[in-house]
Order: sequence, then C-alpha cells, then structure tokens
Amino acid sequence: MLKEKLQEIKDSNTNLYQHLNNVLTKILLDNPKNAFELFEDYSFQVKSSGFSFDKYNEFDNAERTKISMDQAIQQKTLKLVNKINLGTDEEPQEATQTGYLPNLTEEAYLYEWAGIGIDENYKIFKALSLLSVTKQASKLRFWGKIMAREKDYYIAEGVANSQVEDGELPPEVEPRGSGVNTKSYWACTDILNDKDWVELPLITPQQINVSRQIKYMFTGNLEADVITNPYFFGKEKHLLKAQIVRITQSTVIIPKGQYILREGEPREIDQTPEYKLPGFHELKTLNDWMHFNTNILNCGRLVHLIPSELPDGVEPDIYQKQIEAADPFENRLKQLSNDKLPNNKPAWKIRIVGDTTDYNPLAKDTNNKVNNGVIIIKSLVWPGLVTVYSNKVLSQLYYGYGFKATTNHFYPKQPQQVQTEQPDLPEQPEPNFPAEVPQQQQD
Amino acid sequence: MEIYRIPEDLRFVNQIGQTLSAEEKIKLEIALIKLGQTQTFDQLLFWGRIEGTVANYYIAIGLNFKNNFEFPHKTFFYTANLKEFQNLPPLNPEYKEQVETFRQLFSGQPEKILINITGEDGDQPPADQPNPDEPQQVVKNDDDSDVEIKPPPKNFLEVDRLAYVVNAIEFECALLPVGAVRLTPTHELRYNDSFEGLNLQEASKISNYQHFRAPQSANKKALIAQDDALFHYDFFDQLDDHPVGQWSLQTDSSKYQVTIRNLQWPGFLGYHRAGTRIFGYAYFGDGIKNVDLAFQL
Repeated sequence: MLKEKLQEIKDSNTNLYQHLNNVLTKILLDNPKNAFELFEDYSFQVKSSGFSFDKYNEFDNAERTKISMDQAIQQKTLKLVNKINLGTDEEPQEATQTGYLPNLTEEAYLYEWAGIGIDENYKIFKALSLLSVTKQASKLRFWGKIMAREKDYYIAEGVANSQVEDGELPPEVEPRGSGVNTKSYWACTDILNDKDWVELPLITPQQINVSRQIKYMFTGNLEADVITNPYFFGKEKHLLKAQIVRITQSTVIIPKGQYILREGEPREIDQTPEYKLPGFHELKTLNDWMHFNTNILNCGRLVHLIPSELPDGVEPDIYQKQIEAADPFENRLKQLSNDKLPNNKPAWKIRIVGDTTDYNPLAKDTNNKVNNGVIIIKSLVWPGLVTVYSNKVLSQLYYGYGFKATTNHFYPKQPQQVQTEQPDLPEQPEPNFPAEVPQQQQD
Repeated sequence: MEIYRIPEDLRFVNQIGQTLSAEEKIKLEIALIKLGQTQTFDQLLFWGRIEGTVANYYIAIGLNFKNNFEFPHKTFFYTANLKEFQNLPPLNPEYKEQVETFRQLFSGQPEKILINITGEDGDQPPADQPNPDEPQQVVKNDDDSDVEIKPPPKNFLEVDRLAYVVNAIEFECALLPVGAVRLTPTHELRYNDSFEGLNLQEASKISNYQHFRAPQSANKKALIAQDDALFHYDFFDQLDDHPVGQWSLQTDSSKYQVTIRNLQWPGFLGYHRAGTRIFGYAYFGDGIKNVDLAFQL
C-alpha cells in the first residue's frame, strides 16, 4: 500500500519511491560516517546526477575511468621519445651523429638539489637532440625556460650551422658569430612539435639599449608587437633574444683559474694549460668563481665600433682610445665576490647542499676523494639563474620571466608631449603691385 | 598541497621550475607530522617555500572547517630550519603601507629587524648576525585611577613581513576548481565528495576556477548567504581581479596537468589534473610582489 502511494508522487523521470530507493542505496554504498547530516545532500545529488541503483556500476562513471589523451598528442609524444627517425615509418632514416648535448636528465638530478625542477626533462632532452639533428646545430644545450603569459618558451643555446646567410647588415650590428650574436638561440613553445623551434634573430645595439630601459612580460607569441616607451623596434623575438643575451653575458661563471688572460691582450682569454676541474672543497666560496663572458658595453655591443671615417686630424689609435675611455670595458675574469647589487648587498647567493662527506674513491688513490656535495650559485641580479656544480659536472640554467631584479618601482618613461600645431596665420591677399613700368631714360 | 602527496604534486610546481630537494622533502615531512600531532586541524597543508638569501622559509597552513561559518579558519605556520613549525605572528595593520615598499629579498632570519622602533640598537645590525632581543619597555600612565600598560613598542621583524606576504598571497591568489567545495546546510564549508574533477575542456578555462577566500564581491556575498547556497558550487569570487591579465593558465605537453599562475606574485601556482580529484595550490618564490605588472601588459 505504501509502495503504491509513494509511486504516485511523481516527477517527469522518476517517482518518490524510486528516489528514496536510490538515495538509501547510495548511502549504503558510500557508508559515510555522518550520513545523518548529509542526508539532504545525498538527495540533492541523486536528483542532479540521476543515480539509479539498478543501473549503478561504480566503475562506469565519468572521466575518472575514461583516461584518454588526444590522439595527436599521443603520437607526437611517442615519436619524440623514440629513436630519432628523420624519414617516414616505412623508410626509417637514422640520425647521424649529433653535436655535443649535455645529458639533461642527469643534470636535472643536480638541479633538484638546488630546488629547481625541470618539468618533462626527458622530453626536452629529446626535443633538443632532434633540434641538433634537423638544424645541424652543434654545442647545443638547454639554456632554460622563460615564462610568459600564454605559453612558456623553452630556449636552446648553441652554434648554428655555418651555412646560414644573413644578408647585408648595418655596420653597427655585430655579425653572426661575434659580439652579442656569438651564440644562436632557438625558442619553442611546444616541445612536442619539432617544427616549432625558431631561431632567434640577430639583434642590434639599439635593441639592447632599449631592452635595458623597459620591463616587458612576454606573451608567448614570437611575432607579437612590443608596445613600450621608449619604443622597442622589433618584435617579441628580438626582445627575447636581447634579454637572453644580457642574461648570458653577465651570469656565465666558471671556476677561478680555468681561463687566464692572454698576455699582451688583456681582453682575450685562453684556457689554462693543464687545468683540472677542482674538487668540491676548492669551490665553496664566491672567491673561487669568476665571470666568463665580457659585459655588454653601454653602446649595446661587446666591442666598440670604430667608424671607418675618422674626423680630421685625429689619429686612429687616439680616436680608439677616446671611444674606449668614454665607454670603458670592464675587466675580464672578474671575481664574483666583488659583484654588488645597487644596495650594496652581494649579487650572488652560494649554498652548499647535499651530502658533503668525503669518500675514498674506488681506486686506492687517496688523494682524490669523492665528494657528492652540490654547490649552488644563484644570481640575485637576474633571479632565476642557477649554476650547479657537483662531482666535476658544471651546469647552468635559467628559469624565470626574464626580468632583472629591481629595487625601485618601474615607471615607464612618459612619451614626449606631442605639441600642438601652430595655428595657421590668417591669410592675406598677396600684394600685387602693378607691373613695373620701365622708367624712361631722361635725357 | 596535501602532505602525503607532496612528491607527486611537485611535478606541477616543476612547470615553473621549482621543486623540493630530497633533503627538504624528508625534513619537511617530519616537521609537518610533528606539527599535526601537537595541534589538531581539520586539514593541514603545505603552503610553500619563500627563498631567502641565507635560509628559506617553509610555510604550512592549518584549516578548520567545523564550526566556522561560511569559510574555514586559516592558521599559518613557518619554519626556517625545518625543525619545528612556529605560529606566524598576527598582522599588525600599522605597517601595511611600509611593507608594500619593501623590495629586497627575505634573508631567512626571522628575527631580523626591518623597522627599528625602539632605537636602542642605533644603526641596523648587519644582515648576517642574529639580533639581540629587543628591550621591553612598559609605559605606565601616571594617572592614579588606571595604570595602563601599553604594549611595548616592538620592532618590525622579518617574521612580521613574512606574515604580511603570506597573508597577502593567500588572500589574492589561493584558488580551487569550481565544484571542489560545497556548503553544508549549516553553511559550513566542506570538500565535495562527489567532485570528479574538471574534464579536459573545462580544466583549460579560467572561469572554472575560483578564489579560496571569503567572497568579497557583492553578488557572491549575496549568493553565499542564500539558503539554497548548498546547491551551488560557484559561490566564491571569480578570478577576474585587477589588473586583468594577471592570471596565466598553462598546461604541460600532455594538456592534462593544468597550472594557473599569478603574474603579480610570480611563484604562485594553482594546479589541477583534469579528470581527477587532484587539485591544490602552492607558492614557491622569493616573496616579492611584481607591482610593475600593470606596466607590462
């Protein structure tokens, strides 16, 4: 009797009897501890999800069991992770030897000690090796990741294939392979797509100088316009390259003594002959490290530009000295301990983590103890730049937004006032004198 | 992030290039468990890490859902040496504007004096030495009727700045997928047991995520006060704060692991794995707000 009564109270889909059945079944199945408080909740959920006990199959529901991935992504991931195949599936073509590429997966372990996690490091490594083969780039390494608003950039650094032609360059631009354009950089937002690696273009000194004055958040689109004041003449890819070059030129560091100044040419460096990478204990302080690259000059180049036309009466040597005095070089191979931030705090942070006990090596050579300690050096001028050293492996990476650390708030320069045009003077009719009458010569 | 899931959830944090080292993970877990034993919370989460020049701060957050109307009570803890968590001091609203002008890094020494009030120490001590305890000054009122004991003027320490920054980040950034929490009939907040996760399309839309704080906008406040609020899931503020464009939603290459980053606080990210109940948020950064963002967009 009660059953029929309840079945009479109907809705479009179900009736009250059915509904109560479903609610009670769900409660029994879930067996919550506070079923009393949750009773109304269950009723609401059963109504909204259309739960029905006779059709119930808990493994049947929703996205949890339907683990699916887009087909294209599946294929691309597999292709990336498998052995490099430059041909098609029917005619596999193996890649010939690629240039040097440090093993990112091993280095990722070191970076983990520094608190830097490289996401998907094996995929990045494979993408880089594919890049090395397709673009014939040598000395490739993973430079780092620059975060942006919509998509992040993965950046690779290397030396491009020497057969690339650039065409005519204006005189102040340092040509490929020299100055700020020494190394080539490739950027990519989607590591699964090997066609996505784009080589970043050569940059001009003006672009470097403007990039020093602006603070721009990258969007993730290399061809985006960069609207700033002072105006950056170039697209996002130029600005990206400029920031990368600035970071690299000021933060690459090497152990002290690995390079020495060349005699007679204090701007050049040579590898120290018979140099062995020191062990852990010799590199524990900032004094043991030095800069490797030259600083970018105020004019935006690494080397001054001596114009081919000298002003009159000036000797070329003296003119060169004048230019250099106006925009002086910094010393090469500077020690890190001298670097300071604007507020006089040190510009580097050095930490020692990991297991720092000295172990005797396998061979009975007690002079070379093995130490697995990790030395981490982080830049405070370019936050995100990390150098790690452990067990003769030295590596460097950047993970950040591409900003320099600033203590002051950034105010973009206001554009200059556009002056109003002078009002036009009221027009007057042109004085038209009658045509001159030639005066008669008086006798 | 949940304590037992720290190793797995760190792969979301890897997307912004951060992680915890093996040593940090071990020590952190022990310290968190110790904290959970001394104090009882409905839920204890690992909030994040703020990097300093000498040491790092690790922050934990304890949530109490029961008996709190509409929003759980949040308690913060910090530790600099990963040995024991301590309470973060309460916020002192006097220094709010000054704190926002601090642009230098944290040092990692909680007792470091940042604003010297007592003037006893003269110049600020150098950064790498721990500071002596500030002297206690009790100001007595000369009135015979009351002897007022004003609280001694305290220096503004780094741990106070830490409290500001952590509270500011939590207020401005903490987020959840819509549907992850719901209200009980008594208007208390609970996690939604039937939340299956957002599916692949929904997870990539920022409108499917909401703030995890007591609602501030008028329409959400009205929504949460209604009686039928327990049938809605979107009663928190949307992620549409000014400056618009401060949120960046990105995925990894499989498109399943979604991270939502905040550009005003670089280092903050909320994460969710589409199709699962895995969600959370964390902060791994240097604790400095990017106030120039408005000029960068």
